[in-house]
Amino acid sequence: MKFRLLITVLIMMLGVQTSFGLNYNVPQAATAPTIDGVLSAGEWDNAMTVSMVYPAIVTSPKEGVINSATYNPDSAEDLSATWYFMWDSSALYVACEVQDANLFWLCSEGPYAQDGVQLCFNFKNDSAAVYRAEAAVYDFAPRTSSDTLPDIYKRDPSYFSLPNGVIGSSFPTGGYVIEVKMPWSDFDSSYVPEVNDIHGAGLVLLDYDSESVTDEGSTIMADFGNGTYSISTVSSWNTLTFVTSLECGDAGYLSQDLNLDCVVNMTDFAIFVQNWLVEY
Amino acid sequence: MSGKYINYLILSLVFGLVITTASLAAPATDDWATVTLLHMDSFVDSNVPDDDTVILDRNNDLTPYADPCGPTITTGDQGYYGEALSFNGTTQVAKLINYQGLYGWLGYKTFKVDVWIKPYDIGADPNDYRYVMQIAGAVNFFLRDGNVRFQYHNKANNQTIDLTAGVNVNQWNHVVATIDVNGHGVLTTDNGTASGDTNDGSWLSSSQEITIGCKKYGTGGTHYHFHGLIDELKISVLKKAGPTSAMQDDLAAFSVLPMDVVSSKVVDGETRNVIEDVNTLSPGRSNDFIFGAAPSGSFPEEPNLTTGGGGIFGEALQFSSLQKYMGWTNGWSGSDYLKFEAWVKPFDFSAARYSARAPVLLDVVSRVKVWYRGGVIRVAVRIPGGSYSSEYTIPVQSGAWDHITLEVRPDGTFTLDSLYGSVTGSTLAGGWNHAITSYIVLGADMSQTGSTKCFFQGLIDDVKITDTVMPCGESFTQDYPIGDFSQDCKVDFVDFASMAESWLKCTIPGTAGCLDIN
Repeated sequence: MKFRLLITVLIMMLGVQTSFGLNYNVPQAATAPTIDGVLSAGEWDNAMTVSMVYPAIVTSPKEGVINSATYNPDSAEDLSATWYFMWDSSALYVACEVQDANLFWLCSEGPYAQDGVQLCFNFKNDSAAVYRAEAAVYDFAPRTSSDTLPDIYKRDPSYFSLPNGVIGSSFPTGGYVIEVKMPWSDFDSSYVPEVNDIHGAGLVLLDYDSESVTDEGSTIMADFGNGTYSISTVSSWNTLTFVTSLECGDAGYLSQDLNLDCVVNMTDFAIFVQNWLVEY
Repeated sequence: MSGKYINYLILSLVFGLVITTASLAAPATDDWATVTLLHMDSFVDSNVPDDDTVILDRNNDLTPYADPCGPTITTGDQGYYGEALSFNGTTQVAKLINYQGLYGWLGYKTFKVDVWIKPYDIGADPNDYRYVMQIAGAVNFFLRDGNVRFQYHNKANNQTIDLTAGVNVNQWNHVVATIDVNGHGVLTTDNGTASGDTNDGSWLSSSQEITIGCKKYGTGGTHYHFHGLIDELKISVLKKAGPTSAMQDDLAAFSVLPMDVVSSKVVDGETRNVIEDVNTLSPGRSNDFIFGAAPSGSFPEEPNLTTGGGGIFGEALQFSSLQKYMGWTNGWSGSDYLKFEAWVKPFDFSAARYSARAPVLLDVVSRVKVWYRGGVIRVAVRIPGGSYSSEYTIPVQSGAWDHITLEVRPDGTFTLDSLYGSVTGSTLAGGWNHAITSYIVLGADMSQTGSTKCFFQGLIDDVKITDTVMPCGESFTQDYPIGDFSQDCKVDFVDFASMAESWLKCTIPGTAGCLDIN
């Protein structure tokens, strides 16, 4: 959180209108996960996680936002999620564990207009990428209205439509789980991912309680890292930076961890004591 | 014992040391300021003069107020120090107000009376209430049943707090009674101490006159008259500590004016003297203070800077006559929030009516006015689409530096604060009339015409005008204190509890039991 606050302050100090997303370090997978919709023990333990818990996600210093045309969730149980990211030489692996108290997929508009998650993905963080084209918006549906299987949907299939993508889903009590494999070959057959590679990303949760997202009870909750619904501004999306493994700081810092060593202990308390009764 | 509990033990021990140290180091920041000091040694022009020299020009003289004669001054050193004021117990009374509210008691938020009394009657008769002092509706200070009684009232329901301490007949008794801003009262005599609180932490700081030697002149009969001697009467108010200076950089500040150096700049094609806005964190604003007339004005005379360190911090801007006034800020376009801070030393606050003799300190043209009249400083704020709000007042200490803070908020509430008092008012309209291109003028009222622009007399130093709310933690220069986990801008027990709750928690990636807070 300190890192996010620092980013926010730095952005404000620049005094520019554009808001930028956050960066997440994504570790290399020691073993590729099985794409079956089940987060098996140990399978995602070392992944980079990003939580989208309502209302914390929209509370200062907020990184997320509720689409203004939709409705706020009733609670964290109504709509929240944890995303998982890993990579290896063959694919980007994404999982999303969603809390959704009211599942809905009796939709006639297609797999994107129902409960599901959206991953906005800008391959190589291309500054020239066009929203919805090269800068893709993927709907990962845990199931569709036409059958009981999960599905991947992209509105403009002419770019990066993931023909070889794999998706799995499951439905534990109170929500659903999605696992996705996004093969690099579907983006660029010559691409070999390396440490320090950067890709753009935005995270969206869709919670439909009827066929129209504007009906009461429906929610679009997004995390572009800047507290705004900047889905069409590709340059403002979050970034995923590939690393070998996560280090201290990649899972955030507790605010009480004053020396940022990832443990709240006597060293932090000594700093706390030095500031006792300080008042601004 | 596990390592975790040993850590808790160490935490508790260290924290206990912190508390002890902090308690010992707590500074005292307040001080009592004298409103009047009466030695009771002689009459001057039929009054007992206020001999206090700390507060210049205060002149809270004591006026004998009984026909054909009031209390008398003793002879032959009968007082505790020198002479004393003698009351006969049947007819004599005096008042601390012969000037109809100009300089007298005007209602402070705190109060202290320190007096020597030698009673010949200590209220032994069941009908006796021998009054040393009364502020109608607020304070009763009398002798009854052989004791000193000190009563004061709270605001909410006029509940009376009644403090009693022993007193000795035919002897000099030193009596001190105080009321603080929280409605806490303490009475001390040579025989004991009593204290009490109003149930809502307030007290009624009435603007009534102060009567000495009787409950109220003309009422109550002889049983309410003091019989004996009163000497060395001192009334004080609790003076708050002002800021060291208001000159620190602040992005929220519209203009920061140290009043130390006059520069020359071209403004609207005309060379003018200015006090430069020195706020380096908002250099683009450069809201200098410009001497002379505002564009619509016609009074080109300018104030001067003091020399030789005449300000409270360095020099100050000096308004030495009614024919000079200060200029204006460039660029004020209205804001739903306004904060004005300044050190002010007024020389003239005695005007009996709103006129050229009612000097105006601040004029946010046609929106906010702060001015002096009748011994108080007054503020009024423009109601949306209407006239000004009611006037809200706090007392003035003439001849003394006072730190004035005015805060006008988006909801139309406003607070005027000085070292001697504080008042909160409202336009009662849920907002105020702020959205207009205008000027901020110091030292004159631009809405007045001709030569009656209500020119200020006195000194003004270290002015800061703020038009943006930027509290601790939201300011680039004033982040939350380290350890302020609750983000309430102070490191205290709330934060300690937060530290304890997170004790030994970790966020090491891939480590069992650690948290991931992304």
